[in-house]
Amino acid sequence: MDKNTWVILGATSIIAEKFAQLAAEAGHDLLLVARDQPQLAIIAADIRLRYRVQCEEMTIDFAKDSSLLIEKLGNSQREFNLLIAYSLMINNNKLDNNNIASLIEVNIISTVQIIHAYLNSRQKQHRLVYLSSVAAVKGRAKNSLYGASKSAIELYLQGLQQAATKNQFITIARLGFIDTKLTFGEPGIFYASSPAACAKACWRASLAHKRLIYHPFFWRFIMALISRLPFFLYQKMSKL
Amino acid sequence: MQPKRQRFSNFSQAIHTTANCIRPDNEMQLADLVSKYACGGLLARGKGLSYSDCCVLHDGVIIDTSRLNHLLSFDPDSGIAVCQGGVTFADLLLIDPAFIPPVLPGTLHATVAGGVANDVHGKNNHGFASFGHHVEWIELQIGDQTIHCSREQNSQLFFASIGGLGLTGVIKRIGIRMRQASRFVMLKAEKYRGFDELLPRMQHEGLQHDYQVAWLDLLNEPRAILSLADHCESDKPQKTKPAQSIPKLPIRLINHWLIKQFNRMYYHQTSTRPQTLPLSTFNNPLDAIQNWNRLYGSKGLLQFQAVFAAALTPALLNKLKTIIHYQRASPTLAVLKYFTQPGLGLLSFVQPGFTLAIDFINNQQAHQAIVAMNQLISESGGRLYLAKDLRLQREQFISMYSNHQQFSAVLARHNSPMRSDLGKRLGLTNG
Repeated sequence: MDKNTWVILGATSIIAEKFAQLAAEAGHDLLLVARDQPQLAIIAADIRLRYRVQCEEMTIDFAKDSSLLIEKLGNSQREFNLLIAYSLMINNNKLDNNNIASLIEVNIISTVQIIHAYLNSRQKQHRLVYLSSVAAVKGRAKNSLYGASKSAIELYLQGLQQAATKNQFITIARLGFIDTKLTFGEPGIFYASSPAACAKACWRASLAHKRLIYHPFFWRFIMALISRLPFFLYQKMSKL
Repeated sequence: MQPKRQRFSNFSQAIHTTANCIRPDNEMQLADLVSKYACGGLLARGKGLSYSDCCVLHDGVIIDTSRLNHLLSFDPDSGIAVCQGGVTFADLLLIDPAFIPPVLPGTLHATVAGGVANDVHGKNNHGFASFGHHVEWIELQIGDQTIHCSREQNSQLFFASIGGLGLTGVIKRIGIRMRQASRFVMLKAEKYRGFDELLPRMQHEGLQHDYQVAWLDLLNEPRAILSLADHCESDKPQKTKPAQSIPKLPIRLINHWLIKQFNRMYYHQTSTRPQTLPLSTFNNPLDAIQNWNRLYGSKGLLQFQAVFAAALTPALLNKLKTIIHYQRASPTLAVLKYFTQPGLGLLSFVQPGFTLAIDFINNQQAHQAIVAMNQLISESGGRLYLAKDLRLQREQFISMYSNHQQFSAVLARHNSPMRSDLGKRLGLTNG
């Protein structure tokens, strides 16, 4: 297997951290990218001590300027793999002019720029994992702008998957409830998968060259049902 | 973050509580949450592996520290490792193959902060005392303040926190002096019929070895196996057998008769030939079975552990055995160790003498036996291990731990928001 450096975007999120640990365990060097510098330093130190791999840190605010990273991905002599695990999650009822712009900047503009730069870089092989959400499958009253931003990237990636060469592996992971700060203590969480299990599912899916996975797997069936519901029934579910 | 209503038990599964749980993702959130919830009473909980009620707080706020589990740095020259409180002893073993924590408790799954809060001991007290001796400093979160404590700086808070049952604050970061040693031991076992020869052997020959521990058979005629182990080099690969896991069981798989037969078999089958073992196989045999406490069914088990003066030990062992038989309790596992060095903390359990730990099937008989045994230990000037105890009373506690007033004074001075069911039971905290 290749020993490319894994670039982990949004490395301070718990799923990304678990994914980075899997990559380090498999002997890959890492480049961790996130906004929260102190926490990033803690996560990087932990990975170096546990797995004895090279682990670089890069502090970036995706809402402001991702050019440093874009340049690095586009012009590096090294071979990179890419995990995109950052996004801004804002519910519809909390939207205002400023954070609408931020959400689109972070979840769409910077993400597309990064993907574009990465896939156009001269590498022997490209391996990309994008953490999406089941919210991307159907617009939901609670967070449809967030869902739309995830959906936009998914659609963009679908096109790239269609045109992918045999050395380009693009995996989209649609995540249901995972035991993170977003679900902790929230009502209606019937089952939250552990971040470690989620990271493992994404890791395996990428190695197996899967194009699309759901995690936990049963969300595939839930979303199949929801996306086929007649609209008048879907409307009744708007409070959920 | 929303608090989550959750049920919590102790490791022995003998008590059941409900609390609001919060789980900080990083140290910043920890500081925010500790100051936000300080008024109602808080308890930081790692893996919840204590046998006592020191790891639960009924109707309070539990801080789940499972995501504050990062190794931060290691300096091979000084041997000092820095980590967050939620790191486990097993994690510490990953840092450098040439170094180990000088003191290893009976399970490697325990967190390092838990190790500090209970000032845990291993099978090498005569060489390395207790865990607190190797803690260089800790960083405590009390309210919105982070306080660096060491022997020199905020020393009162430091000595109160070693063995302080997590009541002084949330142990956020720890600096530990690691020890250079191999990962293998040469084990030699000796069999004894009766305890009369065993005790002097532990007091003399035992001290010449790196580790010593004795297994006692309390159900058949008195028998014991003394294990003596020394670090050694080995070119055997470190085997990592996946741990067997026990599922949740509605019934108890262990009973008095079975344990009696098991003890008989164990005594006869144990080889006395020297053998080389990985350190963790020797030190943490029960870690090979995940959730072994589930063997005891839904009511769980109880553990008793006390330390008492060496001179009184032969008589006390007999008396304890008599109490157990009289009350018809079922001791499933009994382990004897010998301490020569006291702990550092105000409420450290460890002091010179023999320490006996006994697991019981959780039933009325065992409760009665433990109450009587606690009284006997209290009258004999011994001490109960607060990490294991569920039945001690305040008066008994006061007679056993002479520094209790100093401890409570430190808590009051720093206005610590930490509470636990054990702290309330023994009157260590106000309210």
